Amino acid sequence: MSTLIYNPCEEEIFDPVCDPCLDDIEHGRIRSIALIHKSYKATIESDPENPNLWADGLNAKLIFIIPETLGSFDGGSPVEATGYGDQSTKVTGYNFVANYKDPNYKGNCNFYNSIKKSSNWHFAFRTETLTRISGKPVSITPKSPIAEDLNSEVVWDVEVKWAEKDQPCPFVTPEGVFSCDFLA
Amino acid sequence: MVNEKVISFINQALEEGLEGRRFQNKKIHGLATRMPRIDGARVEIIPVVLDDDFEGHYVGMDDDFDLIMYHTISNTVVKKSLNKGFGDADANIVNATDVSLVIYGKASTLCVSADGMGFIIQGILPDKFNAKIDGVSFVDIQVKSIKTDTLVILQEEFQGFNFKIGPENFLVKINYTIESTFSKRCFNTCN
Repeated sequence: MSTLIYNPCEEEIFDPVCDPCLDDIEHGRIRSIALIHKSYKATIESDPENPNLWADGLNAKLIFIIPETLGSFDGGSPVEATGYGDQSTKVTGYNFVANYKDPNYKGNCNFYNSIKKSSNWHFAFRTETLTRISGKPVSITPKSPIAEDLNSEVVWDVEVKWAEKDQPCPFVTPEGVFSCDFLA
Repeated sequence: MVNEKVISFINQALEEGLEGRRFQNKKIHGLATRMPRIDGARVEIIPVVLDDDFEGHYVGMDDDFDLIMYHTISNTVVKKSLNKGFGDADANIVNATDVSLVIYGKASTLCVSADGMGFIIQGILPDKFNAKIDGVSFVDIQVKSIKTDTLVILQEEFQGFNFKIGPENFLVKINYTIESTFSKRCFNTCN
């Protein structure tokens, strides 16, 4: 008897929301980032809006925070596989790329040279009011390009990549976590 | 604040650049402002530098010196920097301030024409302000134009002023811009 490899089961579909006044519009730019060790991810995700969990992770060196960045996120390139039946293709996951600039050029050299060697860190990134965390550990590639313009700034230009099945879902940024005062 | 520091820096460059013998009898003033002076029935508009007590001291043409200079600010245009900000901050602010360096000289003593004087000063003026000011990323200094028509400058700077200026004297006006790029939230206003 042959075995069919396909999924006929219905996925649970959540209700979409409607906000007619668009009061909850979120504006762009990756404004802050954090790197969370894979051993601490579950703890943070149990209550991501709790700043105390972030503080504990920071103190234990299981979280590193860069409070001020300038970055973008590509939203993910879909990975498609062959579909079955009448479905030509299906999305099996995404390849995500985020790029951000860190202005602390001199101070963070050792940090980037050390973190780029590790594959044990999840990537958290903040926009205006929301933060999300990558579902899988990321690869981190820092660069420090120098332009010819006398008035240009030399900053860290970092590329972060990972692959996972789903889009990262946002949560409300915990109060005060992404600030220089929080790191002091 | 920023502009006054830059003008002091420019004046230092002028002092060092005009060390030649013919330029020894000179007076270089800082930032002046035009004020009315009432002389009987006549109102004169003259450049003055204000001291700490806001007393005005005349800094214009004077027979005692062969070379006199002062600066005046006319306008500041504000725009956003092309560089975007970090974190929640918007782009840096760029203040482009129009400044005039007015130069009075005795051509016969200095052995230089108005045009030659303008060229000499243009070569001495720095392109950048190198010292650090908190909150300010960088300051560019750019010469925009050099005016050498003595009578026109006389009417602009010394309205109603009773001073005989003959062909042996000149007035030169060098218009330049001080362009300061700074982050509003890092700018200390409490100094």
